[in-house]
Amino acid sequence: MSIIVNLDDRLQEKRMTLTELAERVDITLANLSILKTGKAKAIRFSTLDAICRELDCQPGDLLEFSAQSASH
Amino acid sequence: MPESNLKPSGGGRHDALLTTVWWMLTALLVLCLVVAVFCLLAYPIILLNKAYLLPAFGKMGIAGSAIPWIGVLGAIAAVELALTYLFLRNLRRIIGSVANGRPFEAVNADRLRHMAWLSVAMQVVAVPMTRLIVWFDALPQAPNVHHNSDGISVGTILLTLVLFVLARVFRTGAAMQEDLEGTV
Repeated sequence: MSIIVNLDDRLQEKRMTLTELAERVDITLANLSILKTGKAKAIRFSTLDAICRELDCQPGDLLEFSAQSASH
Repeated sequence: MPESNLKPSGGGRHDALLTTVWWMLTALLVLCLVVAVFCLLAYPIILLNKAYLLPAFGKMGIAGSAIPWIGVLGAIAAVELALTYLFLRNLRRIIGSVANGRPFEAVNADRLRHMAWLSVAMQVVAVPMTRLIVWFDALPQAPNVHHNSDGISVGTILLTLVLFVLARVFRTGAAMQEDLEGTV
């Protein structure tokens, strides 16, 4: 996948655990782990909205396109 | 064995219709096996009791030369029942997966495709079987049996087409389910 999810970096910045974020955005920890590890196939706007709101960031802060990953 | 092969349980919501059909199919599967065994044993039993049964067949207008064809009919009927057994077993597994809340899986698309091919095979086997039944029926004094004379059933052909289409529908549904499961 050429899209990299930088959720870990944002969580560290906010000193928040994945479990805490899962509770705040009302998403299961399992689904959030799927997103964090880059195994998700798609992300709902509602999920993105909730995560951006809780981490006080922009979608671009969470998602990154990497041409290098795409070529692999 | 996958979960969907099992009896409908607490995986999905309780559905009385699905549970009833599941048990009906289980009964039919047992019946298929019992009747198939009977079909296979009928000819050896006739041969073992030839001395007693031949005069009785003669009274029904069935000549001794026709007796081996009873064996052939029994064998064909056993094949038809075996195909029916496999068809019903696939249907029961699909019902199990629906009851357990996971109908749209690739394995169900495969099962529906197998069922479509099984119904084709059942139709093919039904032709010589029906011809033999018609022949026995035409023998003098034999009990009159009302049936389709050529064994070809429009209903079965339509069922086959529907099953092939449903297999495609389930294949697409399984892909959509997979996408949905990867969505957060």
